[in-house]
Amino acid sequence: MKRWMSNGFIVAYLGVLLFGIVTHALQFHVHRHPLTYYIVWDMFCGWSAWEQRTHVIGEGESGTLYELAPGPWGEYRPYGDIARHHYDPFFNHAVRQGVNTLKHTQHEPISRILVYEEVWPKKCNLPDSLRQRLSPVPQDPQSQFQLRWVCDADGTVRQRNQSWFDIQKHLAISSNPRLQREARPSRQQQIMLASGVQGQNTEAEFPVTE
Amino acid sequence: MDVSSRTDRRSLRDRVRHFFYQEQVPYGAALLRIALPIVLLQTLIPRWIHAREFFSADGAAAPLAINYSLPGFLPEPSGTLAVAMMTALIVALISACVGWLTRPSLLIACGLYSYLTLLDCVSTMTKYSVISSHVLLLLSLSQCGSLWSVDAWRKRRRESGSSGGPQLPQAFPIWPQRLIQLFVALVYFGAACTKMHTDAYFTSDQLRYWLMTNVNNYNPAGELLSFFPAVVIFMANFAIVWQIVFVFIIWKPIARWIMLAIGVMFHASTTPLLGLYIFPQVMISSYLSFVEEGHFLRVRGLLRQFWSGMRQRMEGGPLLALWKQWQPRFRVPVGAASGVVCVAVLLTTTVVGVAAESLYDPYGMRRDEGPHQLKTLDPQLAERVMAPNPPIPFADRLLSFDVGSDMLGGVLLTTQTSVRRGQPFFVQASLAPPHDDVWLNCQLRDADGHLLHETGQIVTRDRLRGDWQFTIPATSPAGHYRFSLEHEGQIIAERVIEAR
Repeated sequence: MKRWMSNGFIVAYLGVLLFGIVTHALQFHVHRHPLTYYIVWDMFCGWSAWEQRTHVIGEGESGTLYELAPGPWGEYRPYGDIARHHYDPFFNHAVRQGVNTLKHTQHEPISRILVYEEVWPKKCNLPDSLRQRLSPVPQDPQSQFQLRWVCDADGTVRQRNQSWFDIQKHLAISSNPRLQREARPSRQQQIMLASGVQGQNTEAEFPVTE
Repeated sequence: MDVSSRTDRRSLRDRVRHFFYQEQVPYGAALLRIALPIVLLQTLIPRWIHAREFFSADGAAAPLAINYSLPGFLPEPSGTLAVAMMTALIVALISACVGWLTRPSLLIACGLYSYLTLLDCVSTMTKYSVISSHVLLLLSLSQCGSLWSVDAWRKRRRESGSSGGPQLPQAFPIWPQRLIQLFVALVYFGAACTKMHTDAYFTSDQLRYWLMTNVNNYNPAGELLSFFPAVVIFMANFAIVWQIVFVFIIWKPIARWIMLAIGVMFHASTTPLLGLYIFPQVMISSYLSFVEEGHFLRVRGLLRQFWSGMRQRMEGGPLLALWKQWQPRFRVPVGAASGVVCVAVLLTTTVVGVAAESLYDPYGMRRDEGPHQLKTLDPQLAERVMAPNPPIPFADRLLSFDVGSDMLGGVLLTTQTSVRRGQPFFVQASLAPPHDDVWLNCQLRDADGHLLHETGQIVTRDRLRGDWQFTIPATSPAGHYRFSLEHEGQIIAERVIEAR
């Protein structure tokens, strides 16, 4: 009986591990469930030439802007020299950090929580001695900011925007008049409404303006 | 049925049975049981005081399930419960490390660790935490507590009382340790699949930018290495081959040690190169699962030989006398290490932990002056954030503009400041994604600024490099020449070279 149980566990465990590898290799249902994170080994899967940071800002009714992350009780740096809220590349958890800070602090009434994405070229991270070896020599970084979320003080979402990277990717092709003509959002909407089918783009949609 | 095929099948079955059910003293599993909790405690102890904020409904938990559009996949505990769970997790890991009620300790540690990490994908859950969860689970199925543990010590005390002599370490079926070995090998295989899906991995682009990233700890060697893309390409290709073949040849006696030695070097190098500290420790600890009984006995024999030689040399010396005088002479009553005491310690520590956290008041809600005031945003940052974005200078989309003689994988093998007249060389512009389809113009001028040659090319948005081949004729004068990279009529970058 004990041997049967251990045999069963061995087969089941190895089966689950192999399932993870095969689904990942074939890109099949990889991001369907959080538990797939336990069997998919996608370390170093993403990369960017731009350094990214997060700013969670509260706007008081007086118009004063407040820093909501890290909280005023102190910051925690989990993996290096930057605070916890910067390790949220998809910006799915930043609003909650802001709401938590509001919940545990004294403040004037807050009208909005704003979450901004900041990016700058990674080559600007290099120390001066190495920067000098690049041509052009990187100057002090001129960050780009992208408003990602606008929420009420309780976290109710008012506006959600594309990431800076998605916008840049699409701006790179939006100068093509043929694509602009073919990607008319109004036409997509009319077809969807008529058919009643609900759909979602797996890629970000064509930006109308920036 | 063919007799020979039946024999082959039986022998395969026997081989599989031998592979999983061979009986060995679990030295490797015991070493791993001691090492892994020590590594994990380095990450958990600093997070303990933040447990309320990171893992509870009274904080800003960041459940992984939200990234998968499954909010509510796991219930979020209250602040007090989160602190209690974190405290119990730390106690369970310490208990597993010393082998006190090893199996329950490992099971508790595995359950709490997996649950809490799933609640904080921002600052606690990473792939090393996932690997640790797997290893804790498999260790809990093993007999890793039968050695170098309080459990073993208690058992020895009990049995030496009845049989009148010390007991030899007991052998057990090795399958849990084999599963850890297979798990490590399959992690590498899966990681290799990821790399195969990432084109930029093979052209050094992904790793070069990773080496420049400032999200992990200080990595000065990595920043320097980013200037040697050829080395990065070689290391990247070597790493992927090593990861693919690992699962196939780790079972061969000599290859095993070579593969593990490479693995130790590979993981250890990620500390200065990428600023990783915990991931390499977790992976190198997991290699302890590859230590089997025969290996351990051989190493122990060598160490004993070495020690007896040292002892003979030190005989009569002050150090040995001091050791004999001070070596621990304590006796702990058997009952002191019983399961009841272990549970009592777990509960007491958890209650004390919860009380201590409450007294610490991490949010400062009970301070004399009241809760914290919000910090106003730095005015300079506020101005930058609210202002319209300036146009991105094209120079920001250009990583580098270099000259070199040879290419490897489409990247300059080395960059150089001098070239030989009459011999071809390359000029390369490396772009940072995302970028538009661009027309880049490359100009060559002599020392007096006279334009000698001009050539341009389209670099489409899917390409990260534009390169040109030049030859300065042998009949041209030696001296300095200047290459300029032009975009939309503006010079973006320049390189001066010496033609010899």
